[in-house]
Amino acid sequence: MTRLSIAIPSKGRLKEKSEDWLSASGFKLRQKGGGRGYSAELKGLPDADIMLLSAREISEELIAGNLHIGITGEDLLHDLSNAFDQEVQVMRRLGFGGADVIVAVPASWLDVETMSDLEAAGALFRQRHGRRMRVATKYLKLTRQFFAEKAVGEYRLIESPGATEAAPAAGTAEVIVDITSTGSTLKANDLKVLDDGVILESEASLVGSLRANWTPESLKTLEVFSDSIEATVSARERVRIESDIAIPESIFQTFKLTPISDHIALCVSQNASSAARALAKVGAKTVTIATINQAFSSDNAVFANFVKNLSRSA
Amino acid sequence: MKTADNAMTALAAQGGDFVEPALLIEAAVPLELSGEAVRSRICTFVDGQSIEWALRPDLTLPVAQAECDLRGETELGETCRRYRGPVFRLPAVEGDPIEYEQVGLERFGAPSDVERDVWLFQTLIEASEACGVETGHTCFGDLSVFSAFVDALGFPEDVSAGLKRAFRQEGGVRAYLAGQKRNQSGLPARVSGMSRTEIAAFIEDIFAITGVRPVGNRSADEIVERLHARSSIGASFEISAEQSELLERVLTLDVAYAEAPSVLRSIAKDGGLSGVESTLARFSERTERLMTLNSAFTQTAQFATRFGRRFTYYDGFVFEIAASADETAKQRPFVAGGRYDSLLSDLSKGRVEATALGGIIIPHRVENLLGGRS
Repeated sequence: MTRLSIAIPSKGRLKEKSEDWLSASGFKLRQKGGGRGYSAELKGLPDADIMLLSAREISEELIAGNLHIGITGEDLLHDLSNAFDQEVQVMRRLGFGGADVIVAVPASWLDVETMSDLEAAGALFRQRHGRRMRVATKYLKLTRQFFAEKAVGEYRLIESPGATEAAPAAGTAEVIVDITSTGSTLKANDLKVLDDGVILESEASLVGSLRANWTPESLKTLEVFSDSIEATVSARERVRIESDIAIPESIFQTFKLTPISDHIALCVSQNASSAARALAKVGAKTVTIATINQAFSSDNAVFANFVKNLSRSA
Repeated sequence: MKTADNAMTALAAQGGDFVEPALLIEAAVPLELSGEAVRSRICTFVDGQSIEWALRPDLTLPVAQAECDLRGETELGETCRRYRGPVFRLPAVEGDPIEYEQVGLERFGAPSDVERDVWLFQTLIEASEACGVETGHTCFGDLSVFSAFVDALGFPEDVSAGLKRAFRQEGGVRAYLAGQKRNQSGLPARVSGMSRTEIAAFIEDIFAITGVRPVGNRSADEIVERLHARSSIGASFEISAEQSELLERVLTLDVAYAEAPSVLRSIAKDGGLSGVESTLARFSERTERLMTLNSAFTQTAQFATRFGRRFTYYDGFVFEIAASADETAKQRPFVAGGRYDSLLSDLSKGRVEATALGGIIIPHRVENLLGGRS
């Protein structure tokens, strides 16, 4: 694997958002064979192979080490991984695809507000029905871990690949573990989330595989890619300030400005107008504030950290 | 093979019948009995009709199932079944085999007493000696001890039941004790003092006002039952710091086996408890009789209250013998056994009631041990 392999979600909102997010850093996705092909290229990153896969496949392949990096949900990653810290590394949370993996029960269960209530209800359920309470989910491992952590043993898992929220009404399970972003699907199905029932707060993330075969070439391509991504992220919170006089040292310090030249600096967005006023006070006639697209820095902590973890897990 | 033959011959001296139970059991059997915790250890597959099967993780389950079937049809007194065959478990320690042989026996319908507990231990150490292993480190447990202390503390039924279930979970008791404060607020407090009928009417009102309707298999009556159980704890009820501490002392007890009876008795005395006497009397008698065997298997024996709590169907006396007290050695015992008087009842959903105890010897571990010594 001398070329860097990157996987991007192949459909839906996750794909659109990923495309937007990549293009903000100058990487434009072009799918081969029109919109239906499953291989693609990123303009601006010629040394990478781009694949379009489902988010679940991306997680599986990252864990197996068959991909270098990919965009996927942390929910799937955590559920599929056996030894998270040795298998993958979340390099950057992307700020979209946010959702929680939660434990939900019918809203009519007025006696059940917490996981420990669920345990007690489960014990009574077993006495009455002669079987354990069913929990429907696609997150088998996460559920098992979480229930063990909460000392809840009175349940059995039912694997549910889709429409899990309908399981209680359909009678195939009493409880569900599912992902939800707004909770409206849960409400529509007469379900409620337990007070201490949030298993994981998940987000779409850029993830690197620690198990993949990394070569100096693929790492070099990752660095190029990551530098640009980090430059975009770092530009998001900052603006460029330019003054017609040299910026005094005191103002650099007060507003924690990052110098570019005597007259130009980067400033955290919310401090910019105060900094401009301060400059005017000491003699500046004109100060301009401009948004920036990217701010490259000579240190890329995210990349450096990834390389460090790679060598540790090797 | 020689080791297993020797073990079989030794067990056969106890009489009873040789049985060859099924290799396959429905996965629901261990999963319903023990919960999802066992799933990480059992080998399962799904057939064309979506029924999930498991390769037997031990011989106790299929032997006990066959016993249930028999006893469901005919009146049977005391029986003893002995067996030899492969079991299948996903290894807890990397490198351990998935398939290995067990040789063992099960005794059903015998009086549930110290006499039989001692008999079981003695039978298994004799089998071990017959295989050439004459010493070992034994861990003893008794899963009725914690329950007896909980009962003696005289908590409301709902609390006692919760604590006993929590005992079976890693960190369960501590989580339960920590969570009891929060449980006093909310709806159970609102319905405190109401009768079951009143709670049912109250719940109906809430449903009517909010438009929430019960969905699925759990009925409104079950919700009422649980609310009633919780509210009848009483709003002011609290497990005191002294009671918590006493439970913690019992729970974390880990001492030389010979000393365990006196330590447990002094914990009961310190707490001014009555009601644990019969459990402790039985425990003391058993300990004394096992220690007077003066066996090389009990010289370093240890007792821990928590020992065996994850062996979900065991409910009384329990033990394991390993090569030494070393942690890695203890993960690979070559002898294990104990009592599970409620197993047949649980497996048959109450149709069959008969006491049960049994134990096994694991020939390949015995051989590793003999190989390592020579």
